[in-house]
Amino acid sequence: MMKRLKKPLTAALSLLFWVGIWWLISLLVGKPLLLPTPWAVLKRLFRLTATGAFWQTIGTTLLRISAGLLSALALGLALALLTVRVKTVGRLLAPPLYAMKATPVVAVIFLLLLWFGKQIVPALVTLSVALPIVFSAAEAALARTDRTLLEMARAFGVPTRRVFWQIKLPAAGSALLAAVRASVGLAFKAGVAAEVLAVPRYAIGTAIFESNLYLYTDTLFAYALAALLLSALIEWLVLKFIPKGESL
Amino acid sequence: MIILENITKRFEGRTVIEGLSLTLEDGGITVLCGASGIGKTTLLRLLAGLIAPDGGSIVSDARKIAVSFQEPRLVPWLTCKENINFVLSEGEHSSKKADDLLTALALESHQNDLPSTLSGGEKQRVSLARALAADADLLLLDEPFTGLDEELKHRVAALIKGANARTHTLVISHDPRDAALLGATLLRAESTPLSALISPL
Repeated sequence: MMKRLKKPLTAALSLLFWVGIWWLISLLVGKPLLLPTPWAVLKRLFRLTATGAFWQTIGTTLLRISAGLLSALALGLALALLTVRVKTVGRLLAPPLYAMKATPVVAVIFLLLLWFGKQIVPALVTLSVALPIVFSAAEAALARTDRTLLEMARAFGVPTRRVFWQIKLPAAGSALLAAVRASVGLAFKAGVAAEVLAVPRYAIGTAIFESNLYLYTDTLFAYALAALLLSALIEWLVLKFIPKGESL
Repeated sequence: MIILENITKRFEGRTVIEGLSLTLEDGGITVLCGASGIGKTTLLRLLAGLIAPDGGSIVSDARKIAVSFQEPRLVPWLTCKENINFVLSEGEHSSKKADDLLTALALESHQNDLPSTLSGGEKQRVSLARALAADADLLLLDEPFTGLDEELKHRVAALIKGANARTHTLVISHDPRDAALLGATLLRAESTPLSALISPL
């Protein structure tokens, strides 16, 4: 019993320690415009949750990020399947995927803002951040699809189509689950960052931007806290409900 | 009939099989015994067409081949029955073949279980059932009796004999007594690299 409680207890104590440090610094600084106390932020967050606009903001952000993530999953799997079949596709895709991975997210956001409407940019940024992760995971899983299984299928003369549907595709599915687990937190952070710069209607990022503009620091902190809690909730849900995938 | 003529196989510079010639008669069963690492599994993989010889030729009229490998090689996300159906043609899926074989191998309660829920011995039996279900011309079985108790061993032997592979059945075993159990021809692999198979009789 004590052993089971030890981990959450340590986590809670460690969280309390840092909240205490924040509180102490905010009291020392004594300027709520620069650094509000944790209590002021919490109060502000509670007041916000009572408004419909807050939930509309959270919901729309979630929708945008989900759209980007789901597109990344579909596109990443399709490209990985193509790459395993036609090696040239992999070589062709390597430079743009590397560019997506290595280019600073802020630069990507500004470029996309030049070309697309601000409503769609956060979803596109989420897509560009998640796509290389999803692609690499799916491609690696497809490439390493247990050779002994493929050899068994070859020995028995199992038709290629059945090998694809019953061995290769499930193996990729298993990799996709791992990719979702790996990319969801990062995609969420990138999506909110894109909202801060794109300032679309109803968005956590827009709320953060506007609070900063008008020096509503407690609101800024409250939305940042909401984003953090949401990201933590999504990651927890993903870790809890999305299986690691059957090992080959 | 399968005729191997002057077969040579090398792996990373090491010659495993050198100048081996062998004829496997139609409808026969052969048990191949020999020490580990002598080249028995390499010979099985050559016969299965999974690797090509570096020298010599293999002439075979077997169209359909079934293999039970030393390790089970079951698809982890398919149930036991689905693993058997995986190697059968579409028309054979609805037949009772998979059910009957699983029952004969004391696996009837595991038909719809995933391989991860089975013990090592049970997985090996599913792998054997898969090979036996395939109705193959050439049946290649690598250590099919490993880990079986006496009763199951006799059941498996009866199933192998009953499978009646048209071209040939080759069983790799570490126990020469398995030849008597199967009423099969016994061949021993003794030389390294493998260049001849000796019949003790």
